Amino acid sequence: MNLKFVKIMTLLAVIASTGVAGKLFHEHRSFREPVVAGEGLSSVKKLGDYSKSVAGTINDANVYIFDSGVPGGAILIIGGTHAEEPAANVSAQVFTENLRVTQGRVIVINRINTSASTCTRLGEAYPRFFHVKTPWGTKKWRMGDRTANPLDSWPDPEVYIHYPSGQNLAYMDVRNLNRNWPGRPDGMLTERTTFAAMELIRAEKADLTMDFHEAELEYPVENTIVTHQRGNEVAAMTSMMLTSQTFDVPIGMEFSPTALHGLSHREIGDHSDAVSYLAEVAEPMLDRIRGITDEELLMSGRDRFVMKAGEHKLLYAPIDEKGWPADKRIARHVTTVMTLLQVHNMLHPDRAILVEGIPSYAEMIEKGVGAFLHDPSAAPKGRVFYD
Amino acid sequence: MDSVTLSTVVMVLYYCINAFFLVAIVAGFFRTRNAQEAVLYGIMMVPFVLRMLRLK
Repeated sequence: MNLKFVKIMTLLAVIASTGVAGKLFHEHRSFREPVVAGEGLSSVKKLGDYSKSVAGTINDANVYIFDSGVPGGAILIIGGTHAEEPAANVSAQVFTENLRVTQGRVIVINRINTSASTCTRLGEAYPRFFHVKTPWGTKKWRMGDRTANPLDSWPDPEVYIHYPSGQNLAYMDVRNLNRNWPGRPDGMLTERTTFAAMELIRAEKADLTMDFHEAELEYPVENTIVTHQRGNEVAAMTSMMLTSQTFDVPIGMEFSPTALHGLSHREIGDHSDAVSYLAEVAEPMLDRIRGITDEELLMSGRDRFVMKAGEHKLLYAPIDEKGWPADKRIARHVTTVMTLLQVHNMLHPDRAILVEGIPSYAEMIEKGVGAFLHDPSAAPKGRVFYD
Repeated sequence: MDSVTLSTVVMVLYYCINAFFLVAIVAGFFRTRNAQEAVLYGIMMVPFVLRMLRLK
């Protein structure tokens, strides 16, 4: 075959494949997620308003503030710590889109690590986006990775040394937001992000924080609330109430290890007056033994390989042919916060936080979470924001 | 030197290395007289181009 012809065809193929791949990567990185803030919204700040260390960066996230104007406590709800755990940011968004606060304040960050939501995990063939059906159409979000995008934070060190504890962690954990609390203003992107969040917690005098997560069923910290020691009573009572009255699969309660550093449930409690909680729920797509990794698995939580592992008692959470659908995962997170607030109000009436407008667990399971997400094209412009 | 400055310096050097290899691959592509090698050079170009454009 003529060499010149081969070279021209090769160059054309290179241009075409680079163009297609580039367009897909760019589309994922630049997609903006619309948020229709609830009627009770008081103001929207940026994380950079609390610390210049993160201002103007991709992680300069929206901070949605719902202030009742009535003295009480304050809670910070954090979504999107690990962007490959979509129930976390959608749960936060259920609050952002429906919340009305009648006492105290609620502060929500839907996407605390936006950078991580702009790429997916290398070699895992994750879908780039996921969708939720709503009565008005389909709502779309970026599917992300566990760690920040290397385009925003690179290179990783040989060994990541956590600040301020000096604990050694794996190199890629320097981009893992939940190994970087309490952060520092002159560190890498995730350290600067958590530092700004700590400044927010201190400035807004938050009483408690909730960090939403999902976990593979092979992981022992599953379907549970992990709490700082100052939150033991509230977490234990929340766990008992949810297990006995609401959830079909029990939710446990675990103590935050005092010697494991960088995690929100440890460091927020240690470095501020807030009591820190972290909620985990089962997500079969994160399991190493899963089958085809697509949006169907992400949203339905059904996988026959994970089920088979369950039959052999190799998992820390039950799974059957119904799987762990996203609606159920999100409903559990939202209801966990609602119950946590109920218990907090009972034990700390002087710092009560009263909220309305949030759907119940049964409503979210019956109608689907999409029924509680609003149409950005039909909403007043002043209430539509982008994460 | 703080970690951010150090990382930025390493990042710039990394992109210089990336550009160097991209130029070498493109030069090899035009220089070779072997069709199979030309196709191989073409395949190798893609990730370097995507990286230079900061798309991946």
